Amino acid sequence: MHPWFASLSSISPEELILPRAQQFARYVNLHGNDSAQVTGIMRFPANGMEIMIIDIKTGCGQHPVYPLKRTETLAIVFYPRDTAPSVLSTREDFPDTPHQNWVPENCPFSICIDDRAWEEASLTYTSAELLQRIFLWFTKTSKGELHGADQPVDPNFFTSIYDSLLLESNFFTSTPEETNFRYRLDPCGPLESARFYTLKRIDQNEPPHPVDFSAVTLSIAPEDMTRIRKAPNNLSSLNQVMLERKIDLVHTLKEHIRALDSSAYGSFLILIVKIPMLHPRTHEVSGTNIMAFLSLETIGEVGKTLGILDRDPSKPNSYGALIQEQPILPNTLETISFAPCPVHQDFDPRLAALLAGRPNNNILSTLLVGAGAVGSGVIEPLFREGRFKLTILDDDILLPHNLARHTLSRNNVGKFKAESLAKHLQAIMPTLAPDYIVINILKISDDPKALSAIKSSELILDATASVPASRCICDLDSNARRLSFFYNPSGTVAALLVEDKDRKIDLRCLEAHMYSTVLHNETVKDFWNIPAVMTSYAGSCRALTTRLAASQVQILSGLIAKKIGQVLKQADAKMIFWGINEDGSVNKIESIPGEPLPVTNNGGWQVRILPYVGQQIIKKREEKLPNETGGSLLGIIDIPKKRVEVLGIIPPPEDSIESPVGFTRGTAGLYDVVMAAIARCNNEIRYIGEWHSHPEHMRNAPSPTDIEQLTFLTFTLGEDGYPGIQIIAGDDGLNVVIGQMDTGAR
Amino acid sequence: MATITFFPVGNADTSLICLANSQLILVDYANMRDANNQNDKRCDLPLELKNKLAKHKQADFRVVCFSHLDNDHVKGMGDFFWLEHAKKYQIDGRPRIQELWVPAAAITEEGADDDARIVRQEARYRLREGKGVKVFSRPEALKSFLEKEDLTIEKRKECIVDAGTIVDGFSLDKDERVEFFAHSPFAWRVDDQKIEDRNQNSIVFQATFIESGIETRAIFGGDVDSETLSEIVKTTKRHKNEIRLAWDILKLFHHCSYKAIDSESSDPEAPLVPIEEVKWLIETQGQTGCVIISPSDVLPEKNKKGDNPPHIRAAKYYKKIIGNKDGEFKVTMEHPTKSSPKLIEVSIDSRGASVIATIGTSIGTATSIPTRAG
Repeated sequence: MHPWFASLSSISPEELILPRAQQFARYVNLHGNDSAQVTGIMRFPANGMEIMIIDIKTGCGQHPVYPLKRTETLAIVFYPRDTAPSVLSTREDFPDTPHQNWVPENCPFSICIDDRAWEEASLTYTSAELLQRIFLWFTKTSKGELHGADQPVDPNFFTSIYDSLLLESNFFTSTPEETNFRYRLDPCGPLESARFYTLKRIDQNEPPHPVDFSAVTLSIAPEDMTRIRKAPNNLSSLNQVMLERKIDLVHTLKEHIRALDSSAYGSFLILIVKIPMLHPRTHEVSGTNIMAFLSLETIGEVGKTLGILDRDPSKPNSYGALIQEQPILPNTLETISFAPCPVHQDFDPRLAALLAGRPNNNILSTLLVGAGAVGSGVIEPLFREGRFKLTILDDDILLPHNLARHTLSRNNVGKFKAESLAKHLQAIMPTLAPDYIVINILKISDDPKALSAIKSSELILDATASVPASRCICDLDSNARRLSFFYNPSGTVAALLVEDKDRKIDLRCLEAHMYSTVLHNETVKDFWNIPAVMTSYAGSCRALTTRLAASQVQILSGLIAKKIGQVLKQADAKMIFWGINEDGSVNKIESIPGEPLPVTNNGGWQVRILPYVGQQIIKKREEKLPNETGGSLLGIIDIPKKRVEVLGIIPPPEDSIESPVGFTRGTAGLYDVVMAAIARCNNEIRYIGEWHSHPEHMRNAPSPTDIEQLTFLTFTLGEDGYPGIQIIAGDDGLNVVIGQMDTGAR
Repeated sequence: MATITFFPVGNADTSLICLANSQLILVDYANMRDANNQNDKRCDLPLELKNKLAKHKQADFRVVCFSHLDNDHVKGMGDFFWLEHAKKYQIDGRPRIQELWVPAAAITEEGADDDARIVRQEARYRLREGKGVKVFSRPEALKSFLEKEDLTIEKRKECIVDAGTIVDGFSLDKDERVEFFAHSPFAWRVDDQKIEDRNQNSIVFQATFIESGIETRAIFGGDVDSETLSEIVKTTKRHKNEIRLAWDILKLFHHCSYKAIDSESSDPEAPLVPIEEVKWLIETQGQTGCVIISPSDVLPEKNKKGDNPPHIRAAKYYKKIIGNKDGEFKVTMEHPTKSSPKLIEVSIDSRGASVIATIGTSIGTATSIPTRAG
């Protein structure tokens, strides 16, 4: 039996005090049968631990993966405080397997039978379950099945005087100048109940504190790594562990202490060690663990033990550097104690990407335009996935009613959304802290910071839910890919428009695709027409906001965010609608818009045609040959930017005349059709002109009759500031003719 | 993965092999329990087997092997199985026997009674039909029997398994992942005997299982004694076929009788000394971590004269050997406790053989005991 048990006192079953120990003893005696038998009971007088020694039949097969025995003698340790029992092996040669806990030197090996927190495990804890878990551990370990393929193999860390440590900075890129940095353990919560400490760097000008630390970082190379099973707790054993892994700790500490200012000699050391995790059988490196060791003696004492410092007899607790290094006296390294402490690395982009299931932590420099409810709801999950180095652009202020759907809090009311959102995200992941610019996207022409952000961005996210803003974003002088997302006013449909990587299908084109889909797809025909219930939030008639539940917004935002994560891996353009039904089910329409037909320029106006509009015109011509045919055109007109996107054709009214020598477009019901289409598309589209076909063997150049029509269109539409658009389909394809009021028809 | 289940049926034999493809091989059937005696700790065998059939989604047994016709190997079979040879056994709900294995003596024996007779009649019927039966060994008596039926050995050769051969119909390369090698009975023994000796003519076979390239072997010992075992060993060695006597699981011969170790041993007080061939078989052919199952009553602390099997001296011998091999020795009527014996399940997988541990739980207890109210 392991020598550790020699310090325990044997007791009889009647002397057991701890209820769980009593229950377990009773249970094994009644139900252990020949699979588990209590062979001894012990107590550790110093702390009241009661230990059941049991022989268990492990159920190992003849050829276990690890040299486990058919019958193992274990010690089940029950504690006076409310915590999980420990399961220890009583033999010193217990094999190294996954799922064992690190134990201090001279302690028996401890198997990890339950990785749940005790608060959760205790809810269903029974003696039977404890024994079942032990059996399961052995059965699965003997078959090599205990370790999940993606689960770290290294043991849990033995609890220490410090429960957990959070590293704020990246210690593994420290430079020599940082040697003299001081650190302090900052408790997370009240000191008397703190379990988590943050290692904070202290400003050099701050006066020393009784418990300051100087940090030493050590990295064990994967090729030098061998499994560590015992947690070293003094400088001698720590040095031995490091030497076995090709790190001369004593030498490293000497160099570090020599480089310190003498004012640091009263501080303590913290060793931060990066340890590759090895599978006990395959020795494959499955990740990295970080462990901290905190010295319980001052740097002065450590330096004295290492033979490079000595006490200054003239000043109490003071040390000075020795001119001549002294040899280390035998057995003195063991007098320098170190407390091991598990370390949590800060939540950083690497960890964020890992936990989000992203194989690489690619971070895109991204401009988020719009910090409202839509923007905040979509960007926060994506930010938590470590995806973006953000600049947030918005000039709006958070109002009280915004809290119904925004991710910000009450203390942000009255402040700029961009700034508040940036700080909110910074509080989640400081290493990826966003920047912000308080400005309206429509007014950035002279703002150097905004222009610089635009230039340097790889991705621009439009969360403005504003048509002019979206078009402005599209036109920005930047090669960055744009994505635009928004909900419909009633909050029942979310939309995501994604440009292709080459921006051949840009946001303007996608906007046209969107309206075209609304016009032709019954599922989304009411995208803008489902009435939104509005409520007033202030006295003005314009101070209205939609009544839309935060839970609904969260669903819509989640759908958009998830899809953004996916489309960023793809190159093509996409347009997606999600509709949420009353019962919570979701309908989705997803399409890959085609590249628009080449731009036609005339007099400063640019006209683009959606590809299927062009295909429709050609097809209708072919269907109607030898007759000419035609119809009216619908599209988006951006007057300030002189851009036209042709997005649909209206079939010829029934009173139209089609003949081999001409086409007369009738008027029956045309007005109503056009107005209905406009209403369906939220008044963002217009009647923009006419199309017709030429007969076979005729090219698409306008005839004198066509010129007359164009003139009519130009003058009529010119009153609203639009050009007249005429599309002619002939043997040689489509011809787009543009007529302008100021320059006349061409 | 395959499993072998050993049923606590007292000083009797019933084992169930569940193959990797879920087919079931039953070796002996001995429903020894007295249903009217609440204190009878032997299991309700029909119920247990029906549970097994349901669990493995089987309606029938792929094979039922009766190692020999002694009552403690056949009792109650006429009340359980669907049998081909007579309509009175063809009752809905009874499991069928796809293939019946019997020693040749089961065909040729005259004067069999009760369930032994039913087995004989079923075996004879199937042999006449030429299907659904495997007869182990081909003594002259079998030849004579067939001639009376206007049949020949040649015409029924596919129903006959000679000692020293692999039983047709199973393969390590197919989804059942098992192979059976017949060791006994020897035809010459049957021919030579003056009086029929069921025990010495019982079927002894080795089953080899394979999982992920790892072979695990089980020997089912019938009720043979050391003399027959000696012949088996000598014959096997003569043919340089020692691997056929390697074992990871051993279902003991004749319920842990001392006669399987040294049939001539007479001093009840002296430790048993195995004869040379048995010593070789037990002490060298058992692999590390092996399992020995004694299908027997609770071991006595001390045997009275003539009280055998089980015999405590035999048990002590086996336990000593097992202890050296980090193995396990189990007694069917002692597992997990003498007061409440339960099925012994041995699993066979890529890590070899292991006894599946059983511990009681409150749920298991509450749901397995009828409870009355009112």
